[in-house]
Amino acid sequence: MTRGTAPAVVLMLAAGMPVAAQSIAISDDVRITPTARLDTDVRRAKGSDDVGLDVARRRIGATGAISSHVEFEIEREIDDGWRDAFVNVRATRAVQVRAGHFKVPFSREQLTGAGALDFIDRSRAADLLSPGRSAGVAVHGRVAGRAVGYEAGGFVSDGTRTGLVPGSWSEPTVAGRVTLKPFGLARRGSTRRAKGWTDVELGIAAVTTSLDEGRESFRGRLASKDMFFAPVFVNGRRLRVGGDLDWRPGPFGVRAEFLRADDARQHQGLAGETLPPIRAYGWSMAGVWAVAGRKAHARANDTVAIAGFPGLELTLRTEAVAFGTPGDAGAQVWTPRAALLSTSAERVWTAGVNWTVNRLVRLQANAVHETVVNRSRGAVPPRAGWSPVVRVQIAN
Amino acid sequence: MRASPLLCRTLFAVVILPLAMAGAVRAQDPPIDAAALFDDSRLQEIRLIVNPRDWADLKASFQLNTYYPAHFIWRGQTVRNVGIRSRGTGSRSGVKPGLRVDFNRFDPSQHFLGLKSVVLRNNVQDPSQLHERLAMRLFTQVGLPAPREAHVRLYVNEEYAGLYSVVESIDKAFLADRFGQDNGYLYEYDYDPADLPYRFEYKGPQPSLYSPKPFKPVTHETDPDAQPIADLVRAIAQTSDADFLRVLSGYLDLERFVAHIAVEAFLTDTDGMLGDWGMNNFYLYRFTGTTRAMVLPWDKSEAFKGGVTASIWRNVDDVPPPQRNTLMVRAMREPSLRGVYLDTLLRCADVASAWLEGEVRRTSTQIRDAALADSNAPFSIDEFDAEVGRLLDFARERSDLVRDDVRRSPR
Repeated sequence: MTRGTAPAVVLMLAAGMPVAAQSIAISDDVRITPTARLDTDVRRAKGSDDVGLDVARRRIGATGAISSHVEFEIEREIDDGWRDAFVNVRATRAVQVRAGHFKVPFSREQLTGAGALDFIDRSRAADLLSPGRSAGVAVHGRVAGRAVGYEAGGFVSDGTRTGLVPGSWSEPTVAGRVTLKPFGLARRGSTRRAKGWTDVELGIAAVTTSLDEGRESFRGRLASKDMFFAPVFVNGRRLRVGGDLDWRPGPFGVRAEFLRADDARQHQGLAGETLPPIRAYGWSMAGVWAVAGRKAHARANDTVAIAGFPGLELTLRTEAVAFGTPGDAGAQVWTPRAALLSTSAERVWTAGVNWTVNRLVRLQANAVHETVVNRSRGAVPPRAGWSPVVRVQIAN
Repeated sequence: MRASPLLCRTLFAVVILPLAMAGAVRAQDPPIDAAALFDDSRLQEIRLIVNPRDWADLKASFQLNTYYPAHFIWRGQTVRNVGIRSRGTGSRSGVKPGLRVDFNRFDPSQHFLGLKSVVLRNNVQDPSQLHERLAMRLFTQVGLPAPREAHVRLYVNEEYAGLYSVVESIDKAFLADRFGQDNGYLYEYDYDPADLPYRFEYKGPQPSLYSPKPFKPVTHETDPDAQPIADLVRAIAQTSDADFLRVLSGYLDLERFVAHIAVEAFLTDTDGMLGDWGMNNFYLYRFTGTTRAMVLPWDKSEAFKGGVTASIWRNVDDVPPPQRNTLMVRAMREPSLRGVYLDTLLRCADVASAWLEGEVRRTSTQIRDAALADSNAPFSIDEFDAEVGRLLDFARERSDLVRDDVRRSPR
């Protein structure tokens, strides 16, 4: 067990039991809820065939409110700094303002919390192409009877690059995301219920970032963190666009997403000439089946005893992610300043089982099959075949 | 008035790139032999095209071995997308970086004139910039394989970067050219100034005690098979005098080993096999399918620095036993090897008498204007001239002094 794990367990248990003690009321309006999360994986180590124990998340934090209009959330990765630290001011449900350090809005998968993911790892596209957390301000809310959601904001960076001066506007980022429940809109004013379809939600998003010059393009990494597309020099604008679908009819759930990102390479040629942009894109389609039904699973998620069969879910996902230059025919040999780069791609299948033991404990087991096509120079040789990953989540 | 960065970039894009690409087309003309690149009868000229930011990064991070892409242009032939990096130990410089050029860094199939790489030596430890070149020529003239090299005006992005030497790398291409084979085991002796001096002392039987440090594998990197090196060092320490020649000859070409040291002794090299800081600046090549190896010389910038009157037994028997090279001590107990040592010194004296003074005059004249224009060199032209004068004195006096020394030495 690595350093810091034991305190995380203690804090988690303190926060999680008894259930009634989770939320601490300071006054009628002021309340605070301590949170803790410990995710432990058994998986193959980076650059090795050895399977070992890996603590993926050790987090403590708190959520709460200091009035009926002001909420806050803080969360820290033990030994690895702050993750979320923001205040949300809710004027109305339609107009809210969030300020602080939080996720730049883009991909549905990226915005889904760690405890609500259907798979151990986020989709490769969401993991590799999404922005991270950054300091900024965003306006968000839901309108049209909650059928339309939006979030738009400005951030000091896109949160993916290390080494930037904290809080400096070195890579300013503007992001926007809109979601729509089309059958929810249609239902407004109608007394008929479009059963099953009202949950369909579509999303579109875009993020633009002004990149500093450096060897900081998107990089392709396998789930094992081994690299299959090494970064190249970039300079100029990074533009991400994406679209997604989420639908959970009955015991089934379907989620699909497409993301694309272009990195400009102004003056990055050997003679200082501008090169074609680096393009990265990826998609994923995933299905989940709550074996005992969605309501039974929801109850399992809320029990303090052993949930048993109702806590079971079966999952399946197929996805791909690719990196290169648009129209890479005749691509040159790979260098970090090559004008044309042939496409390096990864194709992944994941099958899994989730078992919600109770409201504190969740077990996940995934079998992941990764195939790499045309890895770039310097990248590791891909390992063929299925690799198993098991995760134990303990969180309140 | 300074040209704007935009103007410079535009010039590069509009002028240099088309020239480079035209060169690439010309590269399909009948090939010129690698000997032409190392032809020291003329001052060569090499141009590199490097992204200006990369060049600035390389100079700022000259202690790192980070590779940067570049185009390499020589005699109108362009090799695209080579890899360049800073190199050297004591010669590393952020002003005038020593460079390693790997033609196959980004394209494993790419060679140039049959070469996989060359070194662009910055010569910043030698005011004359001649030590290395003269020393390697002497090795070759007495029949020991050594890298070829020539002086070169180096231009980076059309700006004069200084007077360099283009040096043949000791790699598979070198082995194939000299020995007709390249599948043996090649190790670079990797001296780290932070390490204790090493002189073939026995450390134990495990190969890992000898490789990858200090014997860094250059070929067979993933399977360096250093057991014969461990066996060699054990044999040096444990073999009886009676069996020494027979046993050691199974691991090392002893005659070439002592001949190598003899050339270094003639050149008064202070940083070679019997260097003042332990062994340094050589490669070890073990021939295909055998346990027998030979040594190859590298980096002779410290040659000529021991002084013209230096004894031929310097660092052999004029230092306390712990500072003596254990193999050389044992080799000199063997009359036949002692004879090879002294005969090679006499051979060096004969060659140098007939050749060295004229060669110093010829080469110094060849490079003087380029040295004068080299504002990145850490020496003035007066220091250049003074060192050339010292080399001329060395050429005139050294042979007779060595002959006297040999004459006084028992065989």
